Order: sequence, then C-alpha cells, then structure tokens
Amino acid sequence: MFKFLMKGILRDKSRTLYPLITISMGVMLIVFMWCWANGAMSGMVDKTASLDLGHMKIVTRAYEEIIDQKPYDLCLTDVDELLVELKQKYPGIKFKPRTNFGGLLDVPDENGQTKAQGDFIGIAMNLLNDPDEIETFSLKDAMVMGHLPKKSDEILISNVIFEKFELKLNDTVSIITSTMYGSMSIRNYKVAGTVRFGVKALDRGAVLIDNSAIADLLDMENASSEIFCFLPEMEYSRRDAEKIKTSFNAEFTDVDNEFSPYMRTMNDDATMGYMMKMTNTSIMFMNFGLMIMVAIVLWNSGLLNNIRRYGEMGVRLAMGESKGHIYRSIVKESILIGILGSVIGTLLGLAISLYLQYHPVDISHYMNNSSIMMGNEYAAKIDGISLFIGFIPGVLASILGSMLAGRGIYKRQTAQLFKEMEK
Amino acid sequence: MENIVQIKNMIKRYPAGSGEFTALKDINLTIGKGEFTGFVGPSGSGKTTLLNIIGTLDRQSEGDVQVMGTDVLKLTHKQSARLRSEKIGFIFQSYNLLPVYTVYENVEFPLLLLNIPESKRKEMVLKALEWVGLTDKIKSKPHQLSGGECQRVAIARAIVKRPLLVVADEPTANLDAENSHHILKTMVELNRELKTTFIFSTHDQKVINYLERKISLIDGRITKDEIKEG
Ligand SMILES: Nc1ncnc2c1ncn2[C@@H]1O[C@H](COP(=O)(O)OP(=O)(O)OP(=O)(O)O)[C@@H](O)[C@H]1O
Ligand SMILES: [Mg+2]
Repeated sequence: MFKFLMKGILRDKSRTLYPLITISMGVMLIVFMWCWANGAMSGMVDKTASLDLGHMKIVTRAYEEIIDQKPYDLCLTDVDELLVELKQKYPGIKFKPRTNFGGLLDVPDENGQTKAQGDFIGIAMNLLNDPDEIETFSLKDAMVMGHLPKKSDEILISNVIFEKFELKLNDTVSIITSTMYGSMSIRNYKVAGTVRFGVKALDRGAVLIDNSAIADLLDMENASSEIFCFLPEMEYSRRDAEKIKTSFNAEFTDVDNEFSPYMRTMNDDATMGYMMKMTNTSIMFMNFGLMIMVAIVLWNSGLLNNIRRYGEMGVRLAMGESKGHIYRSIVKESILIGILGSVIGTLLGLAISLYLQYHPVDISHYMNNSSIMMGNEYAAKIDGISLFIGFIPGVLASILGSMLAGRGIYKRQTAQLFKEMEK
Repeated sequence: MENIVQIKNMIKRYPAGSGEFTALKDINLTIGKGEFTGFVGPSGSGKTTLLNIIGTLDRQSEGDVQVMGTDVLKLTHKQSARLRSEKIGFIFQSYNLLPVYTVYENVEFPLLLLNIPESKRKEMVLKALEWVGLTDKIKSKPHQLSGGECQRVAIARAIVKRPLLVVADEPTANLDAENSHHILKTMVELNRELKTTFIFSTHDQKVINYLERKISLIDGRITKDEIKEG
C-alpha cells in the first residue's frame, strides 16, 4: 500500500509539485530570515561590543549608577595594578581601558585666533602600543586618511569635523575640557588622521586620543573610567559573560566602597538587552506567521486538490477502503511532502544566506545617520539552528493544510463523494 | 446464504430544499445468488439510489435491507468498507479508473486493500485481465486506452477479487454497440463461470436483452419484475 501511494505522489505532479513549491518557498523564507536576522544581530552585537559596551565592562560602582553620563570624575584608579591582576585571573580575556570625555575643539588660524569651534566626544584608549586594541576598535577599517597616532600628542578625529572645520593633516587643534577634579584644561594636539565608523554618535564628533595623554589632559594618572572586557575569539556568549561577572563582582566589589570596581555585561545595557530580546521574539513571531500563511495556502491548494481527487476517493471508498484509512494516507502523503519541501527550502535558504554571508550588502549609505551601532556591511549568518528551523513549520504547515482539507472526506456522505466523481 | 439481497418495505428520502424528496418507495425485493439482474427505468426513477444502497455506499431511510445476510444499518463505516472490499465489486458508467496508475495497478488496487501477497496478486490480476482480453495493455495508463478498453479494465478491477456481487451502474452508457456487446458477453461468461451475481442499472436496450431478470422502476417504485423465459 505504501508503495502504491508513493507511486501516486511521484506520478501526479499537480498533487505533489504545487504543495512542494509552496512549502519550499515558505521554508526558504524562514531559513533566510533567520540567517539574515542572525547576521544583523551579530553584526550589531559585534559593533556595539567593540565601540560602546564591550562584552563586559568594569567601572566603579558610583560610575555604574549614572553610566549614561560617563562621569569620568568617578573613574577607576590604580588601573595598571588592576590590569595585571585581571590578566592573571582571567587569561584569554582581553581588558582594554577606555575613557570617555567631552569638551570643545578649537581650531586656531595662523595668528592663533579661533577660526572654528565645536564640541566633540573624546575617547581615550591605547592607541600607541596596543595593536590588539586597534583591532578591537576596528580602527584600520575606520581610517579615512592620514595615519594612526605615533606620539602622545597626536590624535584622530572624525572625518565630519575634519571637513567641517576645513582642517589639513598635521594641523594643530586645541582641546578645551575639564580635568577629573573639575578645573579647566587646554592642550594642543596634532591631527594624525581621520576616521569614520558609520555610527552617528561617533561620526558627528569623535576625537580619539591615547591613554597616555589623559594623565596630563584630565589629570587622570593611572586611571580610566571604564575597562572594556572581551571574551575569547571576540565571540559574545551571555552565559560566559554572566559567569565571569558573578565571579568578578564576588571578588572585587566592595559594597561599602563606591569606588570599588564593578562588572556589568552587555545585556545589562537597557537598550542592548531589549534589542536582543526583541530580535529573538520577533523572529519567532515571523516564523509562526509564515508557518500559518504556508498552512493556509496549503489548505486551499489541498482543498482544490482534494476536490479534484474526490473521484479517486470515491473509487477508493467503493473499493472498500475506509474513510479513516484514506484520511491517514492523505496525512502521510503530506508528511512526506512536508519533509521533502523542508529539505529543498532549507537548502535554498542556506544557499542564499551563504551567498550573503560572503557577499555582504553595503549599507553604509543608509547607516550614515544611524544611532544604532551596526556595521557598514550587512551579512547573513548561518548557524546550527538555521539547519533545522525550517523543518518544524514546514512539516507542520503541510500536515495542518492536509488535515484541514482532508476533513471534507468525513463531511460528505460516501455516496455523495461518489457522485461528485461522476460529474 | 441463499439471497444476496433482501429488501423489505424500504424507503429512501433525500433532503430537498426545506422538505424531503422520496426517491424510493415501498421497495420489496429479493435477489438470489448467481442472478444476472437489472434495474430498468427512466432517468430519475431511482436506479442509482437503489444500487448505492445495495452496494452499501448509501443507507435507506426506512425498512430493512440485508446484503449477503447482514443488516446494512448495523454496519459501522469500517465494517461496510470491509464488506465492500471483500465481497462487492463496482463498475461505473464513467469507468473511474485512477488516472496516474497503470492498467495493472488499477486492477491490483482492490487486492492491496485485502493484503493479498504479491505473487498471488500478480496471478489474480493477470487472470482478470485475461478474462477481459487486455493482457497486452497492462503497462498502459487509462488515458492511453479507448472507452471500451477502460470499461474492460473497470470490469477486471471489479471481478479480480472474485466478489460475490458486482454492481454495475449503466456500464455501457459511454460505449458503442460493438463494445457494449463485448463487455456484456464477458460479464455473462463470468456470471456462468464464477457464479458471480450481477446487478445492473440501465436504460440501454442492448443491456436489457442480456438480462435474465428485469426489474422496472418508475418514480421510485418497482412496477414490474420479469424473469426471462429459457
Ligand atoms: N443526494 C441527493 N439528494 C437529493 N436528491 C437526490 C440525491 N440523489 C438523487 N436524488 C434524486 O433521487 C431521484 C433518483 O435519482 P437516481 O440517481 O437514483 O436516478 P436514476 O434512476 O439513477 O437516474 P439516471 O438514469 O439519470 O441515472 C432523482 O429524482 C434525483 O434527483
Ligand atoms: Mg443513475
């Protein structure tokens, strides 16, 4: 009997091909969307981690409370000693001290008079002797012109400011800011190069400076407002991050000392945590929605198909096959078609995703004004889940469609089914 | 079991609009084993309805219907399916072969339902195709056959399992005279050789000439029941 049914499936193209195409397309979309969202998400996570949040970051407890204001007067101290200890305790994890500060950028003319002035976002980091940090911050990719700073008094500035202020490379600019103790501080720096990250916040007014300069500029001797932490292979895992956070805080955080170090993970960031959750939920919803859509299409095509097949059903009933047996055989057929369609759809979806994984779409045009930290390139990313994610909805939709359509057999009187074939 | 069909005071009504339509009235009928019988009457007189009830595809509204000794009202869907698969063969006006299957597979199908082993099946299918003279077409699909050939396949499919009863609803309606005579002769032979009971519905004079017993229906009533002399 099984062989008999298989022959029917293989020979009756209109019975098999249409549902197969529908399921394949649905599954393809599901797989592709998954890889796409996965790629977008991990692109965003990577970018945000490298520029803004780290996988984890260490700050003082006081700083943590108002972390959005980046209050460098509440910075970590004795940073060199802390770093030595951290490297020993957590081998494999990268620790990168960075300090955010703000102020005015002043461009003098040849007479020393102010030619242009504007505010900036300053980031102090290891620019001079830490190739690893250059990599982490994707600085090489971000460089538009000039070279990386070679000395303490050389800085990088955003290409937007550079053009707005009509600067030239090696021009001298003044930074006007306040020290961590609140007194005014003015220092001159040479523009070594310009950068563009594709992130609105940074591109509007970033100034990158080496950590060695802030002892003088901000009066931050052996201090840093944040220490970025990166997991091995730069691969974020919430579980690992939480684990390290717990052990770190148990050891280093002192509830009585608000300047004691405290570690938080990327997920502790309100926006980022929300984005991650939203993405996961919306992918689930999209998949569910697609599955229902595919099921409805299959239901309809199944109905048409079954009406076309009432003749066959009538004959089979007359020959003495029971309704239940016929119904089950329709459902079994749909399982086979569902699996086959899911395999085809998954392969197609993976093929497209694979292509886009290696040929990312350049979205820098759209991202120039984005406040979301996302890479300039948008690539799909295949993971283990993408191999399976299409199967459940693909097979379920097929079964659901055929079950709904197959109920027609039960609704009709045997003789009635039988008459419909005579027309 | 003497009688294949025994019907007493049977009535069949169909829902029609808001009321009901009585398609068969006061049917009393006995058909014995090995008969070659037909229901004859104008269109709409109830021939198909009566055949469907006898073939357990439909149920009466009132009265008693025994098919091969069983009360059809007492059968579950499954049991009536079983009765059909084991003991009743069907032949339809429009052949109703399964289009994607070959001649051989179409004839084999009733045997699959009976779980008959492959080698036995093959023997039975070939034998049935031999009776209807189609052994040279076993690999053809229905659309490659003429109407007469299709109906012969349908006959082979109906008789392959050697049922006690074959029900044939206007089997010659789509055939020309030559083909009609050919398949009727085949059925007469099967009736003689295998003692298979045949019940027809027809208004075709060619068929009527072959019948041993002619039961006339008009407006849902049996008006005449004649047995041919000789
Ligand atoms: N499912 C149904 N619902 C309502 N009325 C029906 C149904 N089936 C048949 N009838 C009616 O019952 C009557 C008998 O129909 P039946 O099909 O038995 O006629 P018939 O003698 O086989 O006619 P024909 O020679 O045209 O095939 C007809 O008047 C028909 O309209
Ligand atoms: Mg009829």
